[in-house]
Amino acid sequence: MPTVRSSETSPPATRLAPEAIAALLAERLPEAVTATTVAHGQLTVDVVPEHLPRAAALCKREKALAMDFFDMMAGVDAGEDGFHVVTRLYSTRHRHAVLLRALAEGGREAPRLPSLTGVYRGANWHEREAYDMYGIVFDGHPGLEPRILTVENFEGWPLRKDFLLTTREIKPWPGEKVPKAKEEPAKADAGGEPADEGPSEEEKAAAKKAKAERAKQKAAEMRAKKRAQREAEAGGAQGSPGEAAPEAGGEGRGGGGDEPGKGEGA
Amino acid sequence: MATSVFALEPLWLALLLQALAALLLFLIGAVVVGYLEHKVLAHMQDRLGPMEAIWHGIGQLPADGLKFLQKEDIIPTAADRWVFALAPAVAVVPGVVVIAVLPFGPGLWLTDLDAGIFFALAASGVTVLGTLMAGWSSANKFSLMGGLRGAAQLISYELPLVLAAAAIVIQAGTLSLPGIVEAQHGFTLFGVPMIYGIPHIIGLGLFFVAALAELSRPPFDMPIADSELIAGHMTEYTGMRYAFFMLSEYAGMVILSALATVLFLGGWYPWPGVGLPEGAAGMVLGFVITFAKILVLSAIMVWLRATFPRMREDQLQRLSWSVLIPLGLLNIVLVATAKVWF
Amino acid sequence: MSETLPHEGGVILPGGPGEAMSVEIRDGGLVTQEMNLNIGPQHPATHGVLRVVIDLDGEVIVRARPVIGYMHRGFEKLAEARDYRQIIALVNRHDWLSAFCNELGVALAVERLMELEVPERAQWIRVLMSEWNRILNHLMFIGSFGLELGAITPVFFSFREREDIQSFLESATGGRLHFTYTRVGGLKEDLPAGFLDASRQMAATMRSRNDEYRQLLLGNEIFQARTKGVGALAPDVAVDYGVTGPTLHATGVAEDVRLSEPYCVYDELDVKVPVRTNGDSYDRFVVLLDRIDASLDLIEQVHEGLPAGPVNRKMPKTVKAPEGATYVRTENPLGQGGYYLVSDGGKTPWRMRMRTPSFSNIQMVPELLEGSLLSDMIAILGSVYFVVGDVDR
Repeated sequence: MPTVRSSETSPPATRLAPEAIAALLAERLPEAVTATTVAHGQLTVDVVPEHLPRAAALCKREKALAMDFFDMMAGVDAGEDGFHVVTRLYSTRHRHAVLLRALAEGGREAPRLPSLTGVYRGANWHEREAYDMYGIVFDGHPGLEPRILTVENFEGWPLRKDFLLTTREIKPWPGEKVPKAKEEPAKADAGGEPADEGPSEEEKAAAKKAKAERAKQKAAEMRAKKRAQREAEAGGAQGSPGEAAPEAGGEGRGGGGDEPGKGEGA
Repeated sequence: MATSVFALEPLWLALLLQALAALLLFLIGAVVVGYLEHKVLAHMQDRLGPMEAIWHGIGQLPADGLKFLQKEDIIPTAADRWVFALAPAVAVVPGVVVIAVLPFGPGLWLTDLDAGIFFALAASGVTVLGTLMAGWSSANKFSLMGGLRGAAQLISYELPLVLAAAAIVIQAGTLSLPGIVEAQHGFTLFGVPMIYGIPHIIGLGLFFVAALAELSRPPFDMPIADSELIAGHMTEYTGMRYAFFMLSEYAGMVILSALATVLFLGGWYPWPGVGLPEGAAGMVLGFVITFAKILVLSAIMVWLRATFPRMREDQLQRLSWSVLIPLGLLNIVLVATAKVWF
Repeated sequence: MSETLPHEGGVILPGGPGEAMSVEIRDGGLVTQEMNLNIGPQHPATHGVLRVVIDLDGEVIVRARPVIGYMHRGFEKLAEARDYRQIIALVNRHDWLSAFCNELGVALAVERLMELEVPERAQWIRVLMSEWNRILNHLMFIGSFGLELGAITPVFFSFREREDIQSFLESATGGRLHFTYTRVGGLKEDLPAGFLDASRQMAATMRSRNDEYRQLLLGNEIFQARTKGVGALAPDVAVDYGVTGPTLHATGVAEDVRLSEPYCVYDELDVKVPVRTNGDSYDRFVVLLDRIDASLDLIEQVHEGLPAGPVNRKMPKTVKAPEGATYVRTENPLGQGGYYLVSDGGKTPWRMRMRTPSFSNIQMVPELLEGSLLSDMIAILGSVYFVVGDVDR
């Protein structure tokens, strides 16, 4: 059974440094490459959108680059500018990679990009996902609909920043608050602060208090109603239940402290 | 030669007892083999199997039967009602009917037809219709595929079954099943009393493999193919109708094992040449011996289920037509030649 | 069903009781209709809710189209609302069979942006857990592949092994399936006493059991007939689609992240990557068995070389990844898993793209399915290892 061992496979001599790849691309397609960045050892090449397929084809077919492996394609929300689409290509022979980044034309309203399915078969579903999540239309794609991950009749583009998660609208993200002087003894806890045990204590307290208030109000109203009824039965009380209620309500709210156990302990 | 215990005087009594006996044998055989399957399969898979029902799970199958009885009878709206309802019956009834000719001991048979083996094979072939009916009428594409696969498979494997049995018939010189047992009792090969199974080892192999395919048991369970077609032609069946199909499968194991016992393994005699005591003791002993042989063969069927993946449809067919049938014909030629010369 | 087919020069025979079912003969053969069949989303053979719409001509698949998204839970959107500690508990859930490797990927991405040095011991333990996770994953697929083909026994044995492994992993991490053991900057806590002994024992047992699995299935003629030559994948097609993992290694391409871009301490260890040449279902299955052996070798190396020391480091109260973007890939059991992390300097990611191996693998599946038989589809789907949660996130 053939096995490839790590001791036998060192980085191939033909592997190009990120700067070398950037230089090669800039030299061969000067009109396509607008900027190159090398960060953390990785090369990101900003490409003019209409030249994206040409750039990808160059990466694939150029012998020195030989990027035959289609790794992934990601849409990134770029704020007002629109949407970036980042494509990662990798060479199995030379073991170098490039991230091609293109800003979709049309801004946020109608983002469009040419499709890479003619160059790489693997781009198909990744582009469908970018369309599904951001609404970026890829020209030349065999079929962006039906939507790949969401339901067919889904409205909206989920990963856009203006598409809010409903739970986060109702209740703000609890991790935003850093708890005050809760200095936990430095346990060997390597990640983040121990702040996030769900809703913080104050929030829990506030919620409980609000609930208690509502319960008290309701109880007071019920009492007022009953009292009014009794008075009416006991013969000719002038006060209608409606009249008695506001007073009783005020009473109830004011004298809330004597209610046993209705959500107390706030 | 002994006569059947059921040859009683008032004909109506005889018929009633025979019908009861056939049903009982059918049910009890199915239940025992079903339990055997649960336990043998479990132990081969490093687990215990049913343990709760009564004692070590012997009540599991009767409990399953009761469960099936009280289930709702659902017939899909698009299904063909009458065909759908009749298909389980068509699968079960031939099984019960074949029991009529199977001998389980000296005198322990319901009837001794002169064309016993012929009748048994012909009647057991009717179950193909049940599969087809179930697959077609279920109005479900998966059932349809299962039914068609089943029909193709069952028809292909009838032939090796019949060819193997035919070789035995030539050897024994009679079509009647008790007659075959008696003939086997006196059979010697170069002076050594021998069951037919040993010189007919090819035939035994053919018969056994064909029997597995007839019952749609692994490795020939493509028609059912749990992981592809859910339950094949039985997918849409619930409750008692589904129980009928399962009963017919387990009872089929008993029936075909019984046929194999009679044809190849010496029937109710422990070994050719070794007689049985007279009277009731002989009957009981004969019954026990027959049943033991049946259980051994059924256990081997279960063993094969635990071990083998299932064969693909076209590989199945190829096996039958290019390997088994030529072997069966060769077997007949060899047997006929040997019978004439020796 | 009762449409009459056009008949230029053919013969139509009336037939069938009831319905006007016409049998048409044209050019000396029966004209048949293709049947459109939905495999799934609820089906015993697809691991989870994968739906494949196929057009069948008899038993031959003419067209196949996978439909995914039945398990889409919006992980990437959820990740944008989680801080870097909560994300660990989130990302081990899309591919639940390779939970630790996914957590590791995210932690590595954040550590790379923050340019953190992770303690030595933590890196070695990360390798140990990744390799045990790999073995767990492969055991599952060894069992289920046999099950789909009809061999119902190996799955019980492989799950027995899984239970044993999961029990000592639980002693360290607290979870049998979702480990949540990694943290940014190291691990949650050190290994408990007795863990290494249990791990050594299990590694020794696993070697002998692996031989059992080979004996159970590989020599079986029916198994070989069902899998040899079925679903043969060409290496250039695989690479074009971005296929990774055992599926790619079976075609002969030895692309493995542990070799190309080693992370943790893989560059100090002797990593073996088994490859085979045919790329059919049989090879994919054998690669799994071989990979278990290779992982056991790695585990034994870790047992010998595990240094002492801390397993995590003092982290600031809030973990903020500096602005930037990076792509980190790990060798998950199913293939190459990647995280493209874009940070705007805050506590939560701006964008966390999860590159999952199963997504790319399933995209390639129609290439294998079209032209094969329906029963082969089961062998193919069972051998292109995927987890639906990984496909849909």
